[in-house]
Amino acid sequence: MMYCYRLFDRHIFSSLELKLLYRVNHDKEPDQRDVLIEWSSIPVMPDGPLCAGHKMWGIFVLRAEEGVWAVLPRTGFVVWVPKSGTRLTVHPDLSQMSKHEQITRPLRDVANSLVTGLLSRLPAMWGELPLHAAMLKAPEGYLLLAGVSGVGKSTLSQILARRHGWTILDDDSCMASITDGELKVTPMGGMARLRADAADRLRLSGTILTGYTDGKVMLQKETTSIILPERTPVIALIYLSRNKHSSKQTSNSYITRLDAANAVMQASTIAIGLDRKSLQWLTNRFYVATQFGKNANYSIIYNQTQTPEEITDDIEKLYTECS
Amino acid sequence: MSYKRSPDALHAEVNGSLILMNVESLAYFEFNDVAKRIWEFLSDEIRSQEQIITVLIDEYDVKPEHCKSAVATFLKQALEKGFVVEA
Repeated sequence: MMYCYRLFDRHIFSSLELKLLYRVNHDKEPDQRDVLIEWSSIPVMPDGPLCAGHKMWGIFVLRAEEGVWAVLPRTGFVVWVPKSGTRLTVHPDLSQMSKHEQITRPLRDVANSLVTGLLSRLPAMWGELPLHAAMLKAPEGYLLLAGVSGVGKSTLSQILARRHGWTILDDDSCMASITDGELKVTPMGGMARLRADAADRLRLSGTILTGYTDGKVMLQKETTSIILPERTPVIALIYLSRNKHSSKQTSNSYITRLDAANAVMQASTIAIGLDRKSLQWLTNRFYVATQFGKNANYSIIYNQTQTPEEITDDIEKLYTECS
Repeated sequence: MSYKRSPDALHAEVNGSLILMNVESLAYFEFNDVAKRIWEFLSDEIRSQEQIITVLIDEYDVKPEHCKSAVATFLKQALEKGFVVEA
């Protein structure tokens, strides 16, 4: 049986259930644009120069002649991604097998790792630019919240959605492209994922995910459809970071509007890819980042003592300012 | 000495600013108005340092000595950052 999901603006077919993606009803065969995940029992020894990630991370990527090897070291599996980025093959990773003798991770953990580690970066192989940012639809346009994992993208998105009825299109990843000179952003189509303590605080219930070291939970949602963006402008890109060194108990966020050069550089930092040294990806990143530089770009550095609600107040003020 | 734009340099105008990135070093740079004019003048051509100075003296209210020194500084930095190459 093949399951079908939405992945950015395409369909993805997999014989293994990918619970972190929205499942869709689709009775057609995959076409050339769609992504197909195939499983092979043949162990492989991935080889090639490192072109993304780090061997200690959840994913690292090795460049090969006709594609890349995406190694998921915590799972014992490796994925062959051809240059087209549409026919992926998951193999047992011989280099991991020799270390651990046998693979013990359940397949659901492999599926989670595939989605968060690999599939979110896949648009880089399609000539698009994947971004590590949450995407919300507000009345005046799209709002992107960017920042490293754990900075609060999901929590703040949930509060904004609850307060104003804004739609969370994705709370972690989206893809940017330039069509006819205009910036277009498309959500990945993943399920909302929060740290367990944040979900408790917001009184949201969900399934605790395995395969995560930071105890995230997945929120259950309707899986029949997701909203794909129309030609609505991105009105603001907000970069979130935490000031870990603040000693003041009641200090506020440090908010700045970024000038063009800083906006371009910041937008570049949230771009993710499978071959971060490829000229195509670097060029694409630069031109998309310069498009983002034309929008309103803000940096919010908040203090550890601030509540998510206080940071949400700051985001609301910025939204009002630029809409 | 003559110069041309580096093939590794990408550029784009963002809200009036000219932003450049070198794809080899990944260095970013923002050009001011005069640097933008030099970049525009280089276009796809090879230009000598003297040609650049002549254009700037012609278009800007600047003393020749000051212009020569500013162009030399700019070209030195642009070479170091990999945005121009010697031709």
